[in-house]
This record gives sequence, structure tokens and C-alpha cells, in this order.
Amino acid sequence: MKKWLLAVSLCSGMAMADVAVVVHPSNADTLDTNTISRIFLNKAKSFPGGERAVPFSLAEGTAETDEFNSAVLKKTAAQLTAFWSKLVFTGKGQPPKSFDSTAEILAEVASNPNAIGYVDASAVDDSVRVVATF
Amino acid sequence: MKNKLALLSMAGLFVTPAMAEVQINGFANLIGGMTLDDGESLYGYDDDFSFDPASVFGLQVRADVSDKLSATAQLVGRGSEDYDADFEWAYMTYNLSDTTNISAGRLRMPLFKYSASLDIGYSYHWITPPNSVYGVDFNNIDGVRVDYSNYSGDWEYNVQFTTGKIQADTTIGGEPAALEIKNVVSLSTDITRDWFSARALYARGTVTAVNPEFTEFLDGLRRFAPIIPTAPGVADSLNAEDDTGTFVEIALDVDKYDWFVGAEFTHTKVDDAVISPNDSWYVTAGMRLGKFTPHITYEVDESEISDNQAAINMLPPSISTGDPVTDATWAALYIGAQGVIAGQKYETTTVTVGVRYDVEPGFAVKTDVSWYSDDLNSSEDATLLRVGVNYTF
Repeated sequence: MKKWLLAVSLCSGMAMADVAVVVHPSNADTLDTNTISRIFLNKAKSFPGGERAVPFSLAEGTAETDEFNSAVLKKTAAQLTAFWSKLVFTGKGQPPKSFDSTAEILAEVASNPNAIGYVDASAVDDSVRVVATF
Repeated sequence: MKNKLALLSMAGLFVTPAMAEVQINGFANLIGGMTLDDGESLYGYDDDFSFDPASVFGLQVRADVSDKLSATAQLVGRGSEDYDADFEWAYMTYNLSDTTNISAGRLRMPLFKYSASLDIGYSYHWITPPNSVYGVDFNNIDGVRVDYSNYSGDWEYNVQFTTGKIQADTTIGGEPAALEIKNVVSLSTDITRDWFSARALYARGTVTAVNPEFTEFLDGLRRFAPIIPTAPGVADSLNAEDDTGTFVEIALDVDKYDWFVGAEFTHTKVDDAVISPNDSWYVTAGMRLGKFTPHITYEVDESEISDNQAAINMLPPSISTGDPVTDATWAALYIGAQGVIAGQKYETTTVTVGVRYDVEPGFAVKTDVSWYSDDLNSSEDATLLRVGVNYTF
């Protein structure tokens, strides 16, 4: 019973972490899930408007990253590691630079017109523009 | 003054790397194995447990010089070479556009599906990719590679054009030989959609593989021209010097994550040379059950009968010139020629069963057993047990 309760609270805890994908306020592009996924997987290097896109992620293991990986990238942590190890060791690309805190992501995105990141939806402020919520 | 200059240039050294974004990554494959019966050997293993044949450690440094230009170097130490660290890759890449980049230097030849990540054991389920297909003498090329990647709807596709020169070690007539492939051109393409992927490659080059023993043997054949007029022609057909080699590869994969099936086929041919045409393929399948990935692979490696064999069979096994030394020399050459051709004949099948366990992202442990069967000489059969740890950072 206790285990079951714990499972429920874990699940609801994960569902609570609504993730907002954010860009610089000057970025007026409309981004669908596929485009966001392509940018975060190093498959697209630019926003649809033509500006260079630089993705930033939160640290592995955070609720936001788990949610983003499964909802947007549609990959498990192990799949992502295998995916990146192939790209990294073929010189084709590096995973997005990751930050430990939501505040760091917001600060980076707010100051960098090329940046795209994701944060807990409840943490979003006026310094960034939300392009999608998952 | 001199000291000040030195200091300034030292400072310059420290400043430059700080301006370029430098990434350091590493990988380690510690693989140990042994054959299960006395006197058996396979892929460099024998019945004494050893880490040497397949263990690989590597460090990769990549510097983004600018948005468009990057430099990559990979320092690799292999157990099979006493862990002597070697720069296996050293190249620069220039992004011509979002879809196209060009790399120049020493780089990986994209011969196979898993060529790019061959040394990254973590990126596949086997301990090493099937030797029947992947057991080639070289994997790197000095040259230029153009990579184009794009997508259309749900299809992702890549096209690679590679050109350059390959130098490697091989064996001819059982003796070590220097292998050189000049004027290499290769075109490969792969397409992926969700769980389906396919790949094909066509490559050709000018192959030279010589060693003194084999050259001496061929000269021996040629000297019999006055007695056996066809002998020099046979020698030429065996000589691997500036001969055209072609290589074709096809791979198909279905990966539904819970399970996967893959197959890869290669065909190699060198015109007018002792090297016999070769067909190799494997089929592999596995399941992902949580952290466990059990898998099975069936592989075949076989030579085709080459034209040279027919040419040698046209030669007389013995001659009688009246001079016993000449007759004996010819008989020895003839046996040698048959031996060389016999040495180029092989037909092997291997079944490998193994399991991968994902400890955590970037860290996997594996074990597998391979049953190797030499269909021409069952005394070469062997059973190999291996365990391995793959790590990337």
C-alpha cells in the first residue's frame, strides 16, 4: 500500500513538472515539437527564421529534463547517451550545454538571442518568451 | 627582453584555447576473453585469458575554432598494439552550410554501418561488431570527406563522399605486407525513418599489397617463361600492384526499441590479384528488457573462387627439362602457387550469443560467447568467451 502511494506521488510529482520551452524575447519564430526536437538533437542548427540556434538543457536526472526527454525528444536516458556518444565520437556534434539551475537557463536565454532552453513552466518570467509547453 | 617575449607568447598559448571552445571526451572498452578449449585461437585470443586483442582506450579533443570551423583529434591506445597511443584521427571540419560540411585530414572511412562509432563499444550491443564483416585491415583514411545531411518529412538522410589514400598492414601469402590503396573514392548514403534505417556504400581504389617473399615467389614464376610461356601471365594475375579494388556494402535495420533486427552485407573484390573476392554478412537480433539486452548474431565470411585459381590449375604440376634442379624448383613453385591460392580460400560461420547490461548512462557491461566454425578445416573451430566494460565520458 505504501509502495503504491509512493508510486502515485512520484507519478503526480513528474506530471506536475510542466516544462516550458523558452527563447529570447526577440525571437519571433513559431516552433513545433519536431523542430524543437531537431534543434536539441543537433539535427537542425538554425531556427526556422534562419538565425543560428544554440540549445541549453538542464542537468540530467532533473524532473524537467526527464519530462523534456520523453515528451519532446521521445528518448530514454540510455537511448540519449548512446545517441550522443555516436555523435560526440564521430566529431559530428556535442550535446547541449547543460546548467544545474532554472535561474541559469533563464539568465542565458534572456541574454542570448540564439538561445533555446527549457525550464519548469512555473518559473517562467518576462525575460524570456515561451514557445511551447509540455 | 627575450624572456618577456617568451612570456608573451606563453600567454598567447593560454589565451587562444580559452577563446576556442574545447571539448574533451573519452571512451574505454576493457575487454577480456579466452577460448574454451586447449590450443584454440580466435580473433587474437587463445586459451589464456587476455585483455589485449580488443581493449581500446581513447581521448578525443575537439576545438571549435569558430562557428564554422572545428578541429578534432583522437588519441587511441589499443591492447593489440601494447596500448601505444596513436593519433588515429586528426582532422578539421568546415561547415559549408547547415546541411553540408567538409572534413580534411586523417579520418574514419565510413565503410560500415558502425564504422563511425567502431571504437565506442557503448554505442552497440555486441562486445565488438561481427568480425566476418568488420574484420578489415584498415578503418581510417587520409583525405577529404563531405557530409550532407537533411530530412524530408519523416525521413532523415545522409550522403557521404570520401576520397583519399589508405595505408595499412595486411598479409600476402601468409607474410606481413604493406597495403596501400590510392585514389580511393567512396559514396555512401543512409536513410532513417523512426524504427527503420537502411544504408548502402560503393567504394573503389587502386590497391597495392607487396612483401619481399611474395615478390620473390612471383619473380620465380616469371623466370620460367622460356619453359612455361603462361607462367609470367599467372604471376601478373597474382601480383597485387595498382589493381582496382571495389567494395560494396548494404545494411538494413529495424529497431522497435523493445526488439531489433539488423543485417549487413559486404562484397570485396580486387581485380587481377591474389586477394580473392569476398562475401561477408551477418544477421543480428536482440531484445531490450529493462537494463538487459540479450542478443544473437549469425555471421558468414567466405571467399569466392577467383580467376587466378583457374589460371594456376592450367599450369603443369611438374616438368621434365632434364635438369633435376630446374624441375624441382618448378615443382616447389607450383606447390607454392597452390598453397597461396589455398590460403586465400576460407568459409567460416560464427554464432554469437550475448547480453548487455546498462549500469547507468555511459556505462555498460557485456558478456558473450562465440562459436566459430571453419567450414574448410574443422581443426580451426573455436569457442570464445568474452566479458567487457564500456565507458564513455
